[in-house]
Amino acid sequence: MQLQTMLRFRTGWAEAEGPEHEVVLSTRVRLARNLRAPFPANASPTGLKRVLESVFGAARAVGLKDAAYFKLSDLDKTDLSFLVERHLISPALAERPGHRGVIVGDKESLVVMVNEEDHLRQAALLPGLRLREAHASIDRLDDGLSASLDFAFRDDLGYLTACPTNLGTGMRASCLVHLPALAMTGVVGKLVEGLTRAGLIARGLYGEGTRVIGDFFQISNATGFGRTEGEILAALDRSIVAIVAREKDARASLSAGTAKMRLEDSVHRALGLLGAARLLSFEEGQQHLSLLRLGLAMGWKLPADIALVNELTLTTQPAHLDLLAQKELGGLDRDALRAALVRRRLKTS
Amino acid sequence: MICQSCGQREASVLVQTVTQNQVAKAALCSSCASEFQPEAAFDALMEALSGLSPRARAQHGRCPTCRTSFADFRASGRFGCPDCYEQFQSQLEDLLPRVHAGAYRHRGKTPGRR
Repeated sequence: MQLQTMLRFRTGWAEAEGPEHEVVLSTRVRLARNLRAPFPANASPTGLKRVLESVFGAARAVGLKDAAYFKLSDLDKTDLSFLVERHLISPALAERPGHRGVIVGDKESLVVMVNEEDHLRQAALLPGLRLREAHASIDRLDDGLSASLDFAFRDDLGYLTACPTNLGTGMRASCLVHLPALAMTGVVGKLVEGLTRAGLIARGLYGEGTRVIGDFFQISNATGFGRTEGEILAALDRSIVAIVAREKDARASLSAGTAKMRLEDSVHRALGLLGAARLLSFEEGQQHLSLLRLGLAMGWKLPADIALVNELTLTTQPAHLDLLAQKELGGLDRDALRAALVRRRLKTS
Repeated sequence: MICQSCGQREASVLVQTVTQNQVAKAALCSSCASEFQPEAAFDALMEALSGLSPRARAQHGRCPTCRTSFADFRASGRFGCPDCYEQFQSQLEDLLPRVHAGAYRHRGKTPGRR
C-alpha cells in the first residue's frame, strides 16, 4: 500500500462546481489510441514494455511533467482497487497489471491508461457539464503526444482500435449524472431504455456495464465513427441537458404537497442515520448519501454541502478505507471505519 | 455484502438487468462487474459477426503481421493489430455500417503529424 498520500488530494472532478453540478457530477472525455504494433491483448511482454516506456517518455515531454507515473506491477491489490474506485484505471487494467501503467495529471483532471484494451486511453475529467472544455483539454494532450508517437490511423477508418466499436474518433464522452428524483418517481428505467434507442449508453457509477448505485448514471455516446467529435459532443450535450431538465422537473414535483413531507422525512432520516450509525455498509452509505445530496441540491438547509457528499461518495469505498487504515480490513471493521469517517466529516462540516 | 458471483470479494456494484419487463438484481465486486458488459455497440458487433453469410465467414487467411485469423476475431470481437484492418477489409465493409448506425467513413480528427 503506497498510495495513502493520494487520499489527501482533492479530486478535481468531484468538486461541486461547473454548469448543472447539482445534477451533473462530472464530465469525462476519453480518446482511444494505438501505436503501429500488436494491440495489448496480443502483444508480447517485450512489446508491452516498449509501448509503456514510449508512452511514459512522450507524456513527460509534453506537459505532463508534474503528473504521477505508475507502473501497475509496482502496486499491490489495494492500490489497484483504489485507482479503480477513483475512476483512474478500469477494473480490466487492474486485473492484468504486468507492463501496464497509468499517468495521473494534476487534480486527477487528466489520466492516461497504458496497455488496456488499446495502447492508450487518454481522458480529461472535469466537474459539472463541460463536454467541450473536457474535449479541448484531452485534444491538446493528444496533439502533444501525436508529435512523438505514431498513432495507427487511416483516412477512411480513423484511429484504429482493438475493437471496431471504438474505431474512428476513438472518443467516448460521458457525464456522470445524479438522478434520484427520476429513480423515485419510477421513470428512470424508461429513460435508460430511451437513451439506448437514441444511440447512447447509460450505466452505473462503479465500473463497466453496471447500473444504479446511489442513483448515479454515466451517460455516454455508443460509437464514435462516421461523425465528427463536435457532432458527437453536441448530440450528447443535448441529451444531457434534456435529462437534467427532466430530473429538475421530477425534483420540483417531489418538493410540493405531501410528496415534500415524505421526501423531507427520507432526507432527514438519511442524515440522522449517517450521523449516528456505528456500522455502515457500502451500499447503505451510498443510498443515504444520495438522499442527502438530493436535499442539498434542492437548496434545503442541512448541515453539509454537495462537495462533502461527493467526497464521501468516493472516500467511503472499500479500498479507500483500507488505505486510510493502512491495512486490508474485514467487512465489519470496514463498515465501522466507514461509519466513523462519515460521522466525523458530517460533524466537522 | 459479498459478491454474488465470486463469493469472495466485497460487493461494490449493484447490477440491474431488465429483460422483457423482468428485473434482476445482483451485487457484484468491481472485478466481476467488469466482465458484465451489456454494451449496445459491442452486442451489435457480435450479432453482426454471427449473422455473416457462410461465404463471408469462410474467408481464409491470417493477418500477415500478427497471425490473427477471422475466426479469432469472430470469437473475441477484437483484432490483433492495426494491420488486421487491411487483412479483413472486405468483411469490415459489411460489418461497420451495422455497428455504427449506417456510417462507413471516418469524419473526425486527423493526426497533425502525417
